[in-house]
Amino acid sequence: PNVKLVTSDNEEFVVDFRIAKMSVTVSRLMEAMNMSETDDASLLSNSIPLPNVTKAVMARVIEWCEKHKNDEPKEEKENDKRGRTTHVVSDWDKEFLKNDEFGRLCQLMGAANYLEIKGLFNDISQTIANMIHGKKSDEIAEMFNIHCDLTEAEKKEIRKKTAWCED
Amino acid sequence: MEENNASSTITNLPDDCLIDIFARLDHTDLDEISTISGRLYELAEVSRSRSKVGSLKARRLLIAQINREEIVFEMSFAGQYYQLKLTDPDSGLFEKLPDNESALYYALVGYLPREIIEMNIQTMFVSLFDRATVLLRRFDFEELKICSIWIDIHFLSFFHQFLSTRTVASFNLRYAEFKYDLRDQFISVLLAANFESIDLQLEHNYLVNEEFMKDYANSVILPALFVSIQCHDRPFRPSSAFLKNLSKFGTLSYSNLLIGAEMLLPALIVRLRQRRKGAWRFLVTRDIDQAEIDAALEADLEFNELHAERRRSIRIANTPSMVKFRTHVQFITMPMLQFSAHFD
Repeated sequence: PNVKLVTSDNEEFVVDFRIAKMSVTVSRLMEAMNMSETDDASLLSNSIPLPNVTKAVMARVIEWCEKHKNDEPKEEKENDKRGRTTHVVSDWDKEFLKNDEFGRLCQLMGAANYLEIKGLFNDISQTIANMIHGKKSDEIAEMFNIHCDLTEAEKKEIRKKTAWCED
Repeated sequence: MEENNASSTITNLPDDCLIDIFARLDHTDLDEISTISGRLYELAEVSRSRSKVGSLKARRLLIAQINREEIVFEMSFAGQYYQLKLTDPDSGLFEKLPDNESALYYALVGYLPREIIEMNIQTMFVSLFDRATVLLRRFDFEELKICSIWIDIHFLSFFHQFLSTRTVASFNLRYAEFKYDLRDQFISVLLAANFESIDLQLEHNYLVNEEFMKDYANSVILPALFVSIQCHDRPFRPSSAFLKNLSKFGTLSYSNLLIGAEMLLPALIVRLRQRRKGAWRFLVTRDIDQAEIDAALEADLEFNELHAERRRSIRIANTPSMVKFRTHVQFITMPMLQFSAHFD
C-alpha cells in the first residue's frame, strides 16, 4: 500500500506505507486520520500534509528512508576517547550527506526533527558535531556564517565563566 | 523549511536540534561555541548540564576542609596537580601547583583523625560550592576522596549535584561529621552514584548498617566495600537474610563485621562461581570444620588443604577459578575469629 505526502510547495509524494511509518509524525497523523495499511480506501482518499517540508528536502528524506527501510533498530551511542557521545555514521550515510552544502544539511536536519526520523536526525546531528569538534570559535563562526552578537567585554565575561584553570 | 539560501545556517535550527548537536561535543568545544553568540552560549550551558557531554578523564579529586571557612579541592589531571581554594568568590579557578606535587594528599593520607569543626556557612560559601560545581563539570574522576569534612546541607547539595552529572569510579571518605538527620540523604547520594568501590574510614560507625550493605551490594556488579572504624564498637552482626547479599560483594573488608559461620560457606561458593578476582576480610563466629566443607562441596568443586600457607582452598574443577581462605585468632580474649579469603 502507498501513502500520499504533500509538501509545503504542494508537491505530492507517493511512498510505500513502510517508508511513511519511519516518520513518527506521519505515523501519528495517519493514526489520527484513521488510515491503516489494510484499508486501501483510507490511503487513497487521504493525503498527509507536511507544511514544514519542501519538495527538495522531502526528496532527500525519502532517499534516506528508502536506503534504511530494512534496518534493524540499533544502539545509537558510544563514547569516544574524550568521553564524547557519538553516533556512528555509516559510510553510505557519510556519502549521502557530504554532497549537501551546509544550508541544505540544516534544512534536512530541521525536516528530520519535524518528521521525527531518529536515524536521519542522529546522522545529521553527528555530522555537524564532527564539523565543529576541535575548531576555534572564529573558525566555527566563519564555517557556519554566524554573525557574532557579543561585545568584546561580553566575550571576556563568558571566557571567565567557562574557564576552569588559571593560564 | 525554506529552500536553500544564505540565511539557512546553523542558527536557523530550533533549540532542540542545536542542543542535540552540542551534546555530541566536549566542554572545550562548548567553550569555543559559547563566545560566538548569546543564544549559542545559552544553549551550550543547557548542553553542559546534560551528563552526556564529553568529559575529561581526571585521576583523583580530593576535597578537604582546612578550617571553619576554607575548603580545598585538589585534582590530579593529566599528570599535573591543580588546586582550588574556596575562600572568596573571586578566587574561583583551579591553580596549577608548582613542581607537580600534591600539597594536600600526602599531608592528609595517614593523618590521624582530628576534630572536625562545623563549617561557618554563609551565603557566600554556598555560591562557592556552585562555582566548584561549574568548574568540575568537565571532568570524570577515577577516585573521589573526601577528608575531614563537616557535611552540612550545603555540602550535601553540592555533593549531590556533582555526582548526579559526573562519573566517579571509586569513593573514599576519610573522617567526616554531620548531623544525624542528614545521614539518610548522604547515603542516598552515595548509592545513587553507583561507585564501583566505596572506602569509608570513620571514627564511629554512623553510616554502615545491614540495609546500607544490602543496597550497595545490589547497586553495582561485584562492588568493593572497605570499612575501617577508628573507635572499636561492638562487632556488627547482620541477620541471616544477609547471606544472599554477602556473595554479591566482589571485595569486602570490614574489620568489625561479624558473619555467622553457618552462612559463610554457601556465600563463599556463590561468590566463587562469579569467577572474578576479589577479597573478603571480616570476623566469623567460629571456625568451619571439615564436615561442613564436605557437605557444602558440589560435584564440580575441589577442596585442598594448603598446609604451607595455613590456608584452605576450593577450586572449580578444570578452571583457574579458586578461593583461598583461612581463619585465625584475632583477639585472644574474643571468641570470634578473623576470616580472610582471596578469589582468583
